Amino acid sequence: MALIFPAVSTLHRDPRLLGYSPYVSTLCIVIGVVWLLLLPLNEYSRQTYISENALLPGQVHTYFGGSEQHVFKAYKREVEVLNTNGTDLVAAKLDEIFKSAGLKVARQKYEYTSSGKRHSGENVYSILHAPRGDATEAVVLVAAWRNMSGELNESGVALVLTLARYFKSTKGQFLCNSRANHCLGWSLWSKDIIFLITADSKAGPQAWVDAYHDAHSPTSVSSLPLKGGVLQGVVVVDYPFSHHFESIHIVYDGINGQLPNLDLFNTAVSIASGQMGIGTVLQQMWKHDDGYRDRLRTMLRGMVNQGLGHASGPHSSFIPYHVDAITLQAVGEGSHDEMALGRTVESLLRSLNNLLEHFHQSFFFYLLVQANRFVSIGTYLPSAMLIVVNFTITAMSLWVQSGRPEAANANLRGHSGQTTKSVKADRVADVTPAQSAAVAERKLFLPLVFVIGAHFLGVVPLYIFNRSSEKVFSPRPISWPRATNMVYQMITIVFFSFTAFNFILPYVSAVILECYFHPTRQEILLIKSFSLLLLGMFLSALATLNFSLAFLIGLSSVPLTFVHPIPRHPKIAAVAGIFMSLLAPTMVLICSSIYWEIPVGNILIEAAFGWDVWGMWTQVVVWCVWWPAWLTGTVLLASSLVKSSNKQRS
Amino acid sequence: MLYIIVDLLSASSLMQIADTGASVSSRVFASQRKDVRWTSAAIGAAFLFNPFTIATCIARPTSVFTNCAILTAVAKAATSDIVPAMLALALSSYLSLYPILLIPPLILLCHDQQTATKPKTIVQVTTTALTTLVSALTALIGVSYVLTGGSWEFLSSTYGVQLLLPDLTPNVGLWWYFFIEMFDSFREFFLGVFWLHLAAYVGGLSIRLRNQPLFVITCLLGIFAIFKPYPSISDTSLFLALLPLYRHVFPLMRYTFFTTSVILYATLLGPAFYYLWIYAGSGNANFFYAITLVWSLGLSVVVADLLFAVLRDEWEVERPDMKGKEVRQI
Repeated sequence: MALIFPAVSTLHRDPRLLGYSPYVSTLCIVIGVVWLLLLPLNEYSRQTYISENALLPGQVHTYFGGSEQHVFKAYKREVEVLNTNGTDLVAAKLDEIFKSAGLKVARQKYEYTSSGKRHSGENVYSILHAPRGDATEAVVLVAAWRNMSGELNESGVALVLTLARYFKSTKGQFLCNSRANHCLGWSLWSKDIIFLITADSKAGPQAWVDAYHDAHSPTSVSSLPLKGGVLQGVVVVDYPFSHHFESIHIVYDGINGQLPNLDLFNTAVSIASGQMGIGTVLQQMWKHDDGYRDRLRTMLRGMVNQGLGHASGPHSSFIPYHVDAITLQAVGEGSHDEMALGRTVESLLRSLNNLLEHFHQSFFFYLLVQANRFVSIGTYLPSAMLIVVNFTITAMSLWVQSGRPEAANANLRGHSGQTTKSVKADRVADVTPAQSAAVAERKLFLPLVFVIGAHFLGVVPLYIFNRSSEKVFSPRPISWPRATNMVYQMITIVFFSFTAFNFILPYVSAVILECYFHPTRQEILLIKSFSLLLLGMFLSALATLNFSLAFLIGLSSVPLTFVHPIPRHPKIAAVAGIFMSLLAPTMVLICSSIYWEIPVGNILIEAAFGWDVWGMWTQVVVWCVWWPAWLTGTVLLASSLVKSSNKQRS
Repeated sequence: MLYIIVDLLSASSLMQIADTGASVSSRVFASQRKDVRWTSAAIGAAFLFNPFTIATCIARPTSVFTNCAILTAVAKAATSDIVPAMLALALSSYLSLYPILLIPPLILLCHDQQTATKPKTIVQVTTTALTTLVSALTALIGVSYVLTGGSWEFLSSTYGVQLLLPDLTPNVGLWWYFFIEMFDSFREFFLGVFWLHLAAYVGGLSIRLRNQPLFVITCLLGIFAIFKPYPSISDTSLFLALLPLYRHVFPLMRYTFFTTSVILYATLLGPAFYYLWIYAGSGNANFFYAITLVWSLGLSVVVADLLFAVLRDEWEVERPDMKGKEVRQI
């Protein structure tokens, strides 16, 4: 330590280093982006493999088939009839079906209110207690009555009902036929199996899993009367049509960008493609030619989904509870029938049944580029970290710069030779020129207050977007169809007025800053330094939790490193100001809504729903990390405009 | 509410300390920079609005009472009220044991801050102090003995926990991981080593910085916040509370930005890694331990840097000609 510190201190006195900092920052950003683009290549991604030997995917013979098909058809008919007869009877009827299969059944009512809208329904679930276990562990098989896009999940629900009946009774008979020694009722399940039919795909699973872990608020979600062991894995079936399907779309993103253990995903892929011969796709890449472009696109789609942190399927709600979960979605029109999907699910449950411990072997942080290739955290994390480091480097150089007296700063380059020479010359208690060694006293109060204030200001938009429509409609929350329009219109109006306000806010605050506080050059540097330091800090912490979000925000904040107040060139400052306004979080939101053709209002309603029900943190990051940093950068830019116009007037 | 009151009491003690000006000038030492100071109100506010203090107050630990007692002891010592100072110190030591290490600098502080025309000698001060302390501690422990129904078992389950470290729950300190990893046969030896290490600073600092006992206390509190068996952010907040008293040496500190960044980074990453380890299950203990190492590094650099700055300040009193010039360690 004693050796390092003097070396560091001479280094940071060296003015040449300061001149390099923008180039170092740029280099970091460029390497960071290029790094990400290289990831899909064979050299950087790896073939997936099963780490947990106990899983033994596809090693068992599956018995689902034969006469079960008739049962399935009957259940599907029931589901169709129930759907046309109205939703009130659904829970009662499902209850009855489970009971007739000889299972314990329970129901759970829930009702959430978000953005003035009511989301309510009733979950039905039944438990098959493990014949060969002690009810300490459980796996869950889920089908949502309506899937994420609101379609009736007819075959999915029917399949779960059929499997429930099959696992409970028929299994014994099949085995009895094949192994004469064992009698009826012999079964191989060592974990409880819970069959869950949720009323919808968004709120229902959340209500159930919250209640399962006793983490629900009793006012909106009722408790579960019946429970099994600790949840070890969850498989969701989504099959919203009745014709044969082509391939299985595996959805794996959880809330806040958490992912299930890679072993679960691999098991599903290996069973579907290896044992059953069904193709697997991911991230809605229906055609994947395994070339560079498709791999990159898959990875980027995965990153966007992870970055948004929303639920991509009913399985997402389970992942924050450290329960690994995936959704198997039947897609396309092809040659595989529901029996094939049923056997896939059976085989997958058999693999989960083999687990001796909770999933822990394989990766929790990964980016998939294709169903059989992934990039692990060690390989991809540096790209986000490099982008984040650029902010910290700039912050440090600004800090050092702010400590230099104004005069020394002006002829910064001229001094450098002299300084280094004297450092080298004297060994004992050597004395560098007093001017460059002296550190100007920094005035920290105004910069600190400004930056901290900006960050606290972020609470305002957060509150507005999550709560505004709530406040308006709070006396009487309206149920879904009527409310949609009103809430939508209202939240859109709020959003666009905030966007307009956001456009002028930097200029207004710049005028206030310049006219009332007269910040010195040093204070301006310090404001920028603190703001970038905080941004770098928040993003690096975030990168460990949600890599994609940190990367995306980091990338869109990159210009903040390079905006300096330039009072001498008002025209450039004006152009840069417009450019910065385009990069505001609000404008980015509008652009992405145009790109994906989703109305802004829907995104905001979804975000408010995520906040209220899922416990989604994305908005907090946007409004309390990204927006304040952007605001600070733009205010500094705007202050140069104000300064130059003041000069012209005087 | 109780915790807010206790925090306000701590702040008022802190303001008393600041009012005495013991950090910049005393009977035996006066810094050249004694005019550069923050007002006592600013120092009190810095303590109360410190995010660590607020977080501690919300968490409602018992260490708040210890901190309050320590600050009261220092405040009383700074006005040379020996008996109340020792009573407060006895209370804080009774609550969490480690403050008893602060006796030597506190006695020195009492001695140096006397304003009477005929000051007592160091021996007199020490005798009074030790008598008060011992009788107060005896009384407190005696009361505990009576209250627990006449058994001495409370000793092993309170002070024993502090001394022998049976609880290895992760915290921001350095002990838990070390003692988890250790073979049991070495446990006693390393317990001795760790405590000796903690106690060793007292003598050295008190002798080297004989003229500035208040600084010794500050420094020791910083060291305790790093090296004590069960440290928490409340210990850090106590150290950071005393830090602004040394506003006059801030310009001499060299790594302020670096250390602030390190501590802030650790503050953000610590909970993130703890979350990954305990809740998400996707990280492991090494993540969190690594970040507590960074945290301790940050704090120890603050302590070391402050020590450097104060020594430099002292040196400039001896050699005014060297003021503002670069020095180098050889």
